[in-house]
Amino acid sequence: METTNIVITGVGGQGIILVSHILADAAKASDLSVYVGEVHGMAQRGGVVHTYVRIGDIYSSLVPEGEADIVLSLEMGEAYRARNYLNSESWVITNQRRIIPLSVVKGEADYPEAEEIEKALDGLGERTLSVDATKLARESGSEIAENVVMLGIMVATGALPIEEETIKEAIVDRVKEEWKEVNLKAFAAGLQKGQDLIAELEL
Amino acid sequence: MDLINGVVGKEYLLLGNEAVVRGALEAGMDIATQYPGTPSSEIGDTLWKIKEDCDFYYEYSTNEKVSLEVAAAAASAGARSLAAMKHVGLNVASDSFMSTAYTGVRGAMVIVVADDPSMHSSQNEQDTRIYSRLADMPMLEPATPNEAKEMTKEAFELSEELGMPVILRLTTRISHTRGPVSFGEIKVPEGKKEFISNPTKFVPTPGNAYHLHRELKERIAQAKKLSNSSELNRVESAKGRVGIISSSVAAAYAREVKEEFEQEVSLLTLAFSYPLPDDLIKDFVSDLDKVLIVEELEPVMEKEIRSLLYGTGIEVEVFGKLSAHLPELYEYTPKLVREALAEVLGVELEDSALSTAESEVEIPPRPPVMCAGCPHRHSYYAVVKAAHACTKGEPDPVYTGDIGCYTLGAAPPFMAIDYLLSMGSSIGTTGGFAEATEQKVISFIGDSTFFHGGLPALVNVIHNQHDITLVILDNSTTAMTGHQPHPGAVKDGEGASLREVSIEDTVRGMGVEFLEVVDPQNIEETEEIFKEAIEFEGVSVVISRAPCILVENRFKMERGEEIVKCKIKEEDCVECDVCVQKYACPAFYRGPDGLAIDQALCNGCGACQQVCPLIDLFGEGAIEEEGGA
Ligand SMILES: Cc1ncc(C[n+]2csc(CCOP(=O)(O)OP(=O)(O)O)c2C)c(N)n1
Ligand code: SF4
Repeated sequence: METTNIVITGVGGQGIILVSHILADAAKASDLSVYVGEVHGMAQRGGVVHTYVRIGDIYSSLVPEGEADIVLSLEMGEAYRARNYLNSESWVITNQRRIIPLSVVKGEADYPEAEEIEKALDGLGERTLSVDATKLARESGSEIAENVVMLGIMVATGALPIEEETIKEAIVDRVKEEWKEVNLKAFAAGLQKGQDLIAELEL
Repeated sequence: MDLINGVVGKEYLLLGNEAVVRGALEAGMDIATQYPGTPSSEIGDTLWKIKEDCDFYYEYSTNEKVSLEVAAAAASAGARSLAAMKHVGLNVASDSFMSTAYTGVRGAMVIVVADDPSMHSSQNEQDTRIYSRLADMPMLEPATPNEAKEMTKEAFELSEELGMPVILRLTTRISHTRGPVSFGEIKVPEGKKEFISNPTKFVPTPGNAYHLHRELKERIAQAKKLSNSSELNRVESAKGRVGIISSSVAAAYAREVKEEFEQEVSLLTLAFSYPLPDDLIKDFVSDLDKVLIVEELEPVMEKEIRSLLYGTGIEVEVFGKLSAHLPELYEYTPKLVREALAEVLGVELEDSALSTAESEVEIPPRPPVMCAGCPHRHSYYAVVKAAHACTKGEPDPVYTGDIGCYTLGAAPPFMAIDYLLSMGSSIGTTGGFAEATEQKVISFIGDSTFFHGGLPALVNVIHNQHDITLVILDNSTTAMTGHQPHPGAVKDGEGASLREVSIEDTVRGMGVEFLEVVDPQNIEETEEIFKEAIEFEGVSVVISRAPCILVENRFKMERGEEIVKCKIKEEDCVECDVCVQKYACPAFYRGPDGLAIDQALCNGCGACQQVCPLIDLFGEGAIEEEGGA
C-alpha cells in the first residue's frame, strides 16, 4: 500500500499537535494504519515544532528528508525552513501568518517579508498553496481555528487517503462542544479556499 | 478514558509512553514511581491521571534514585513494580540500580529508561544499553508503541522468571510516537504482600555480595538461554545473501526500507537485546555473505557481534558504524538506513530531495524562549541588574545554573548561566568557583530541581561556609517537563495523601543565616533584596516565588477569571527598547506604529510596567480592539 507522509510545522502553541491528532483519528477511523511523531518538552516554548503523520504500510513515525507528500505550515517562514522534506511532487501548504522571533524584534536578525517568502516557496515546486488562514479563521469565529482552516486546505488537495466526512467527524470528536461550530465553519472555509486555489494552479 | 476503559481486542492510538502504562496494567502492576524527564514523562503523567480509577499505587518521587529504591523495595516484598526515567535519570539512580542487579527481586521489577538520540530535550545522548552491560541486567527494546505495550508485559514476566529487574529501553521516537496498540485484558493487582527477611540476598555486605555476584552471573547465563529462544527476537528470512541485524526504532526503519530493494534482504530484530542471543545470531549470519548492523548511538551490538564471530570460521562481512557505513551520532532516519543498505547491496539510489543549496530567503533561527509573563524572566532581570550594581569595577560574577525552564536564562539578554553539569550542579559547583576565584558566585536552581539534587549540595555549601548567593526559582511546579507537582508544590485536591515540604523551613533548618522570600513580580523590591544577598558575606539564599504563569492562567480560566493583558501607550513610546533589549518578553513586536504587545501572546503578568512606565493594563475591550484571541 502507498504511504502518505505529512509534516506539520509551525511555532509552539499554534495547535500543531491537535491537527496531527485529528488526522490520525480520521485515518484510524478509515481503517488505515497511522503513526504520529509528536514533540514534547523544550521545543514547545515558542520554538519550531514539527510533527509527522504517516499513513500506510509503515512501522515508524519519522518522515525522512525529501519524502513528504505534504508539508503543512501554520507559519510562513517555517514552511520554507521545512523545505528539506520536499521533493518535486510535494504539496506545500502554508498559512500567510508571520510570527517574528524576538531576535528580529531586537534588531539582531531580519525576517523576510511575506512576498519574499511566498516567492521563495513558489520556487520550490508547482504545488504551493499560500493562504491567510488566520483571517479565514477569524471570519469563521476565532483566530484559534487557523489550524483547522489549514486542515481544510489539506483535504482539498486530494492527497489524503481519507474522506472529508471522516475528517469532520474527527474534528467534532476532538474539540470542545462550544467550539464545534466554529471549527466546522473554519474547516469548510479552508476546503473552499483550497479548491479555489487548486483550480488556479493548472497542474 | 480509552486507556483504562478500551475494549479488549480492539486497537487504539496511543503514545509509546501511554502504551507502556497499558502494558503495566495488563501485567497487574502494583506500584509505580517516576521522577519526570523528557522523553519519559508521559508514563508518570498518565499513571498520575488514572491512579484514582485503578488499584495500583503511584508516586512522583523526589528524584530517580529514590524512585528506583521505592520500586526495588516493593518488588523485593513480592510486588510488581515499575520505575520510569529518562536516560540521565539512570545516572542519578545508578548506585542503587547496580545493587538491585545483585540482590534481585522477589516479585517483578521493570525499569523503563527513555534515551534521547539527537538530544531533543537533554544534555547528552548517552546510550542506556551500556548500563545493561555494566549492571548485567536484561534489556528489552520495543520498536513501536504496540511493542512497547507488549514488551512491558513481557518484561514483568521475564523479571519474575529471572528474579531480577529488567530494563525496558525506549527512545524519543518510540515514547513520543502515537500508533495503533491492540488491547489485552487488564489484570487487577493482587493486593498487599508480606516482606520475608532474607539478609544474605537483600543486604549486599562484602561477604554477601561475593556470592550475589556469582548468582547474578548465573541468572544472566539463564537470561541468555531465554533470549536465544525468545519470540521477541524475530527472524524474517529471505532468499538473498545480505541481512540486517537491528534493534529499537532503527529496526522499524530497517523493516520499512528493506522492502524497497529488488534483492531480498533478511532481517533479525533483536528486541530481547541483552544478553545478546549468541546462537541465534550465529545461526542467522551463517547463511549470509554480508550483514549490516543497524543500531542508533554506540556500536554496542556491532562490537559484541564482531567479537562473537571472531574465530568461529563463519565468513560473513560485517558492516555498520565501525566500517563507517552508519554514524555513531544522532538519531537515525529511514533514509539513513536505506542509504547504508544500498551501499552494502551495491545499489545506486536516486535522491528525491529537492536541491535547495541556494537559499532564496533566510529564515532566522527560532530558539525556545521563556513564555511571556514567566516569573523566571523577572528574577533574571532583577538579579542581573543587582549583580551589575554590586560588582562595579570588579570582575563579572560567575553564574552557575541548572536544568528547567529557567535554563533559558543562559540566552541573551540575561546570559546568567556560565556553568552547568547536571540537575543540582548549580549549587554543588558554587564551592569550586568560590574557592578558586575571587569573583562573586550566584547560583540559580528551580524548586523541583532543588529537592531533586540541590539538598546535599546546599548542606555542603553551608558546612564549608562558601561565600555564595543562591536563588531558588520557586514557580510551584516542575514546568519544563509538563507541570508535574513536587514535594514543595501540592495542588488543591491532592492534599489528603500528600504533604507539602516547605523550602524555607528546609533551608532555615540547615542553618542559612541570610534567607529572604521575594515575589519576582515586584521587580524593584526583588532587585533590592538581591543586592543585599550578593553583598552578604557567607551563604545567602533568596527564594523567588511566583507561580508559572501558564499554570496560574489555566486556574484563572477554570475559575472564570479574566486575564487582563498589557498594552503600550503607543503615542508616548520613545522606542528606548528596554522592553525588548533588556527584558526580552516575547509578546513585544514592532508593529506599523512602533512597539506593541501581541495580545495573543501576552499572559497579563503586568510586570513589564515596572520595566517601562508607559505600559498599561487594559481590560477586555482593548483585547478585542486588537482582534487577538
Ligand atoms: C537527572 C535528570 N532527571 C530529569 C531531568 C528532566 N528535567 C529537566 S528540568 C527538570 C525539572 C524542572 O523543574 P524546576 O526545577 O522546578 O524548574 P522549572 O522548569 O519549573 O522552571 C526535569 C525534571 C533531567 N534533565 N535530568
Ligand atoms: S512554562 Fe512556566 S516556568 Fe516555563 S517558561 Fe513558561 S511560564 Fe516560565
